[in-house]
Amino acid sequence: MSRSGEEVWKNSTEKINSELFTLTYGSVVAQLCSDYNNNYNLVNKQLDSMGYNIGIRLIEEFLAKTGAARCHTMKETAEIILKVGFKMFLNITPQVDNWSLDNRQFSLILNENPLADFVELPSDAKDLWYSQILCGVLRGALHMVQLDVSVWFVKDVLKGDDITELKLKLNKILKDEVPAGED
Amino acid sequence: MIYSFSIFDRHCNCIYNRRYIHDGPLLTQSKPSSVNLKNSIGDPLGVSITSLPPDNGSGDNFSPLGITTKSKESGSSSAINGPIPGYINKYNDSNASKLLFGIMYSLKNITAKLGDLASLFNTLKSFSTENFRVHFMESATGLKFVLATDNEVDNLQHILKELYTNYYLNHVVYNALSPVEFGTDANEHGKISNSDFINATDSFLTSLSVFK
Amino acid sequence: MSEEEIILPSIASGVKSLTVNDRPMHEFGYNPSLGPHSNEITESSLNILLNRKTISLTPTSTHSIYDRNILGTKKHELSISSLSFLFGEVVSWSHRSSKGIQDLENRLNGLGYKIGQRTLELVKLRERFKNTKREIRLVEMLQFIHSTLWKALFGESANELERSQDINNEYMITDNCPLMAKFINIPKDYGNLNCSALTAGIIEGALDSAGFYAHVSAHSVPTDYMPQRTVFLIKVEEEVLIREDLRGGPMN
Repeated sequence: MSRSGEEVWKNSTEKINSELFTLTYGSVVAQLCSDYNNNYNLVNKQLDSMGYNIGIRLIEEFLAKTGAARCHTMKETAEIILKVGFKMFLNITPQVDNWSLDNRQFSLILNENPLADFVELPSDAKDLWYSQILCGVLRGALHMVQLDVSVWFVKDVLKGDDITELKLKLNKILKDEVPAGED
Repeated sequence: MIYSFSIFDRHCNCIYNRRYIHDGPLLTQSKPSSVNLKNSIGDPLGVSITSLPPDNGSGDNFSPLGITTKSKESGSSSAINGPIPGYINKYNDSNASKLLFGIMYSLKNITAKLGDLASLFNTLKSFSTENFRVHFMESATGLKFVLATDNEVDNLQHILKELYTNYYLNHVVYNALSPVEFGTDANEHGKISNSDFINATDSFLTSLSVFK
Repeated sequence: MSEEEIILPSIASGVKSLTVNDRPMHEFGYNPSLGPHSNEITESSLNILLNRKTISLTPTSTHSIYDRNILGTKKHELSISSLSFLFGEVVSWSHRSSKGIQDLENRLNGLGYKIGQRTLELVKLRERFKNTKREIRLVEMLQFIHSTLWKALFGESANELERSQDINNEYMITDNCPLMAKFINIPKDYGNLNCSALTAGIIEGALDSAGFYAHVSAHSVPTDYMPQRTVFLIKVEEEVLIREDLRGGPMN
């Protein structure tokens, strides 16, 4: 069956220092801000679409390394994302909270965020969600397993909140495509 | 003996198709002439292949999976130079490919409904006919890996898994300059034409004992 | 969080623009036009200080990046595939927004430049007791990049450091398996693009920050055993060579 995040992290992952990653991401965000002349909404959108492109590849590696199959409920999905996914790729373990009544929406609480180590936002960057790329990654990865989700940030430590919180909501389950000519 | 290797994506398109030509009595073709086969993006392969009548679907010289039946012309086996003989991405959109996909799709649906509903769901592993056996594996993202072999070969699930977790992952997923989404149109879609991937999978499959 | 506004220490917040007549907003704040006695502890200001549980002088709340230990020995590690995916997407994005191979390499170089500037500061800071002087000779600086900087970023030092025989302002650092571009395979229609342009930018940023102005480019020199072997060609500016001469000739 599927392997645990801890096990995959210890055995099958080649590890690197996270600072290079943090600096690279920071450089990218800075470049985007200057490309779009500090129009932070556009920067957010661009980060999201870049994250989507990453997500559609990341899911293949995730499935290949863990041997996981498709989940049947959102609770399973949430657990797999947290315990295995985040651990495998970013070596962090977020928490899940705030399940909605219909179990289609939950919050992810990140206690540490390697993307935003040592980052301070300028005072006019109120609209920038610095780690927006994570939303795109989750959206892309889940899209490839036929789950249409919306992911967005609600709180960010960089903006002065006490925690970093993402909300993930299932919009609908996509049906597998059928070949042309069949019903 | 492995006849061909195909990959279908989640949009039901064939994004990679590799046929292998084997020497031997089963293989009879018209007289060889050296032709440089260009695959879909004009990358010359420099492989000598036989010249075939134009592929008009129903007039295939080969059966859907690349196995020839004895045809009237007896000929010497083709003069093959260069890398592994065969066709790369030539038959992606042929009726044969679509037929193969259709069979697998229907069988997949049937197998999912068969079996005890309380247990883990059933998945298709392989199906066989008089002349060949088709091995199948689908990832959770809808990628389907297909190997067509003769009936001697028993179970290639581990090979398919290796192709996915090792070769597809390392050469297509990790390679940022090669796409993973190949477009949804049934007739105008991209194909995997990454030379690293092609060479690596070729050498892997030809090194298997079941290849010949 | 209290709804009172926090007094920001940075210049951008307007401390610079305070005049002699401005009253401090919360009866306790430094006004540079008045000088130190604007926030000296008197009877009344002492009460304010004692009544407030904390005075946070940084914009963020309890978690401030200034509180974190930058010299900490605990290294956070993550999976190399995260970096590869990010790098791959960076290359694709740069390709989409640039007009040609040279433009793309320049963009990657620019991204690496920012990384290089910061990495130099970070690595130097962490050297601690070894950090008694900074490198002022070119060869020492290159050796520093070749070993210490490379190790801090990529886990092990680079493979070779050479100086070109014919041209005296060219040096070469060779890496047999560059970490950033490990998984990228260049399709034929991209020509002779080299994604290690980002790493070249890192070197350039570090060198420029240290005062050795140079231009760095990446070239692929594959061998049989090491198909990804890359050489970073460092072209040092004339002024640097003149300065080296003044300091006593190039070291060998």
